[in-house]
Amino acid sequence: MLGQLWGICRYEFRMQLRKRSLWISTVLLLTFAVVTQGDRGPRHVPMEATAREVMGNWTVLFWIMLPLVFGVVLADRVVRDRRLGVRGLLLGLPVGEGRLLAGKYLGGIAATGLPGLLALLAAAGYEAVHRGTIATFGWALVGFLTVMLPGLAFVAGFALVCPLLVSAPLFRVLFVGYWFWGNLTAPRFLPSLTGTLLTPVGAYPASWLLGEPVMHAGVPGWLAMLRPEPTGAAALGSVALLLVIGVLPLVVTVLLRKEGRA
Amino acid sequence: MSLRLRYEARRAGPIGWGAPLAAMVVTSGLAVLASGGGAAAHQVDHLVMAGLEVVLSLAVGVAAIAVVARESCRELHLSLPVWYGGTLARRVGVMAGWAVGWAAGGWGVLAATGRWGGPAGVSGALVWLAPLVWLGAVGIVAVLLSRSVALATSVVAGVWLVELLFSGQLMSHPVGRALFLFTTTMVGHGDGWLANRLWLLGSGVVLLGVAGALLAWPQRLLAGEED
Repeated sequence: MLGQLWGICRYEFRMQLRKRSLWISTVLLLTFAVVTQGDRGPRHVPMEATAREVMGNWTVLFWIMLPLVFGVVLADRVVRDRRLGVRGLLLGLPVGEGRLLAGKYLGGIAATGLPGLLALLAAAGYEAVHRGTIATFGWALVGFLTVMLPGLAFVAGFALVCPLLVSAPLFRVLFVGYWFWGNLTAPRFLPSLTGTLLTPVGAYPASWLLGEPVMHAGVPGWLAMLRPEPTGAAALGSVALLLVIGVLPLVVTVLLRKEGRA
Repeated sequence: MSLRLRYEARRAGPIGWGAPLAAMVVTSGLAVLASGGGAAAHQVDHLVMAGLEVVLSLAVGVAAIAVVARESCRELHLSLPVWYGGTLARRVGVMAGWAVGWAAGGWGVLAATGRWGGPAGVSGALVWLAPLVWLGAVGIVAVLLSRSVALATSVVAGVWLVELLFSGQLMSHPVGRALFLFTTTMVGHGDGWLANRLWLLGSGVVLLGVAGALLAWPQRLLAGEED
């Protein structure tokens, strides 16, 4: 059973990894971000700052932009089976619907996460030379595991499933709009999910990493119960919530498909 | 609507009419949320105007990519004694016309009720027309160059997000200021506003010309990335 899951996951990983759009889009968007970051960006963090603060800033900068690429790239991974006419073929295999979707999910996360991890390691390399400490590599990994990966797991769950309902192009429009409204818009300006435990931009883990509230974490607003004080425990809770909720769309899809409704 | 335009509207698919409509629904929803959240009337009006300038242009940019890329019988089209660029132009034009209709409707309602916060008169249309043309043109050129929906969508989405997040840095640079998409929403319509709109419109038209030139080799489109 695990062997089948591993096989599907590995296949999906290799397919995704060969998509040139994933790599070119990542490089383009990160270049936009690095060039336009301004005085408050990670390149301008004081020399006396710790490796943790430096890599926390790079993680935040990268993770503001990268989900756009990942959501867009992942949006067609499930709907394409239907479009290419291979869904019947896949259903004929001795692999359950759940395992098929789980393999796509895990493989997709691994493949889209890799460019993010490499970007962080590249930034860590630059900072290691610039600041003379290799601790930046360790904090790059921490940033990836606490901020990027849970957010990616959340985005991937919805990006794989929602296009079944609204088509991949329309999902992409809505997703980009959601990313800005639900993660980056100040809650005092507009009621939004920004700054809650449920923001895949990782407001809480990023606040923990940087040692100060960032990205409106805990700022009063809509859904007050999801806006606790940004502490280490709250960051852990946010990571757990993102991981669990990211899987929910897949579970619902599998259940509906078993009933023949999706 | 002529038979040919009706055909192109159907070929544009649900994204052609769905994306601009979704942009308007999202804008209305946000306005209702803001209003319910205690925002003042002028803030809600500004939000609706921002929807026309910011949200609609994103919808048109991404929809233009999908409309250009969505063709299951491109080989057949290329074998016909008709310029394929003309077919695509009609198809994108139908989608853009639908979006312009929505934007003009929203603008008209706000102006008629005295709640329009943008420039008065016909130039008020440039609030939404300039970014719509520019981002739509960028999307078309990106998909024709890259032959990848995912890559072109990422470019449009990236430009859109960078302009929203790093407006300060962009506005401090002459080129960034000339091509800043959301001047009315983020800065207002004071000095330099009209020049910015004309730069956007002009460069958008140039980009559409580039798209036309790229379609001189439509066979390039046959070997795109599958997405």
